[in-house]
Amino acid sequence: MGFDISEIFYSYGTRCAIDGVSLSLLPGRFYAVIGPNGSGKTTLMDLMCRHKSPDSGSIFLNSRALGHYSSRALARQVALVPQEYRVNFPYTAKEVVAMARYPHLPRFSAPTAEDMEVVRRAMAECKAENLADRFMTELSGGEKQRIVFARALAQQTPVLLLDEPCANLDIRHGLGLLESAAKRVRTQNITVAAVMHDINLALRYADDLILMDQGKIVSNGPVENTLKRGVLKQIFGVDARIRTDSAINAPQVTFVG
Amino acid sequence: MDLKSDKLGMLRFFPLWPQLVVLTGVLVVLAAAAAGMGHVQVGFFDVLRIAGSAVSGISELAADIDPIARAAVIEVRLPRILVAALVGGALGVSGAVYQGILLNPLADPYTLGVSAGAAFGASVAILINVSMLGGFSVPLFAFAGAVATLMIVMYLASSAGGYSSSNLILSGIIVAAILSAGISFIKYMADERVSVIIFWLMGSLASKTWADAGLLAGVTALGTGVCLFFARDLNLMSLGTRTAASMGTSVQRLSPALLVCVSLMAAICVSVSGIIGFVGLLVPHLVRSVCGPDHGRLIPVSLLIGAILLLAADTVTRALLPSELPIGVLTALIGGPFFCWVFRRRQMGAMGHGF
Repeated sequence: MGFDISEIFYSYGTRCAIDGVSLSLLPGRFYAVIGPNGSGKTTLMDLMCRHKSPDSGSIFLNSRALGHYSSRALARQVALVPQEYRVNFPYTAKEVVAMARYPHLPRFSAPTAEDMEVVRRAMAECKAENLADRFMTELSGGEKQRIVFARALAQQTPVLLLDEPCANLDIRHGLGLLESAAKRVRTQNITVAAVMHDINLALRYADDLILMDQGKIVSNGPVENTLKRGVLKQIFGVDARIRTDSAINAPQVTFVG
Repeated sequence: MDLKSDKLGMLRFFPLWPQLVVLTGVLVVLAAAAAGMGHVQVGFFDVLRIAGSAVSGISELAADIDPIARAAVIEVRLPRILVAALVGGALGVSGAVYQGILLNPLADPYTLGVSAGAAFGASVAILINVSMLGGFSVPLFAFAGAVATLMIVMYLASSAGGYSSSNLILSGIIVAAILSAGISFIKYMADERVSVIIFWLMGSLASKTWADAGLLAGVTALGTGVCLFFARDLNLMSLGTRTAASMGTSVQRLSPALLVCVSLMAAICVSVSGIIGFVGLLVPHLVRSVCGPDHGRLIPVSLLIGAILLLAADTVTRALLPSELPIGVLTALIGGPFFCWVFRRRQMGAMGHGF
């Protein structure tokens, strides 16, 4: 079950973005992907949702090659919250979230009442019910991001890929979204892989860390085994202190320069 | 609904079928009225009787009507009316899909150089006076020019990552500019035939035959069917390629395929009727501002609105104006200022949802 990635490579022209990555992602775990800019995190997400295909190596999802899924079948397995979330036409927020049901519906069938209930609950979970009838073109960045997150939840997939899901959110909404992702990991046994720049926010929810640098995985495994000063110094080039914050019962990092 | 939901956009929340039925009704009434107008006036119900007798084969139905009126309606006006409606509808659908894929409000069926290619092909045919294929020579050359141009533009725009919107638009502009210089050169060389070229470029729906109408009906039905089949994928594409990919739509494969499909539809329109501008640009904007951006609605409503508008415009120039104005000139004269008005309203924020 879950993702099995072995020895994948991907290049943009001559620049190698993913340089021999092997990785297993299991159901029921929250993975935080951490690394400096240009370390290949977003490319890894793109490869896992098949927006891009690796130059070599293999990716299996539930013991089946990713390339063997039809586009629609894959969209029932993996949902993505991308970094960019421009919506180009004046759809209402609810219309956008409802599009998440397309992969579950025959091509010409309208969403059923059940589908609309899934949509409603996803929006409620993201505290976005009051945005339902607003136009996407009129929403603020953070409001749009919540809608895009609700859309990914409404896709009801066993795997949820998040690429900087909190970049535009205030603290309350950022925590809320990660909390609802983490809740689904616990209650519905889904896999979450989240690219995050805010390492302390990541540490509140992550079971595992995937630390990347220059297209390679530097360290990968449960937080207690991977969160080391030496590794942080190596990939970020910054000295760090690690302590456990008793208020949230999670390790937190202070960068001291 | 909150305050910004303009009154215009309300139709998006009503069921689609009644809207389609009403628009089809308007189109049929307009067609029947148009068929009665012209030098030989025919009453509205006489037109229906003539059409009914032709369709059903019962000649008694229209036996008491002047044979000249019958011939005018069946042989001259109805084919032209059908061609006008079909070209308008095809350009509306094609424009809607172009804007949906290229995500650019200025995209229209001619963005990838189809009109310039057709114009160049037609100009060449007129210049060298091809006649081996009879009356089909100019349309065939126009179609060949359009398809060749489309292939060149697609080739220029292709890159490792597929076809980006800006690459496609830029390639279209470059190739169209080269062809337009080529057309100028041909006009310069054409001596007395230059007027034929100029008239072709301005577009005309005059003297269209049932064969033209049949060809366009087939092409429009097929093209619209394909676009409707992928309506949801078009919706997903407006969320960006990465999101669309994660929701079951392969943008890299589908977008060039659909662009070629609607470009061919536009190419056949241009080959039959010459260059008719602004319909493909304006109709989708108009429909989107009223019915919302969902392509499942946008495509069929654009088909009908495009048909109604171009038929109305053609009827004005054919039967109401003292002398016939080229249809391409008329659509530009009406469409241009109208587009300015829509554009200005959008700048003022009054109709911000149309684009």
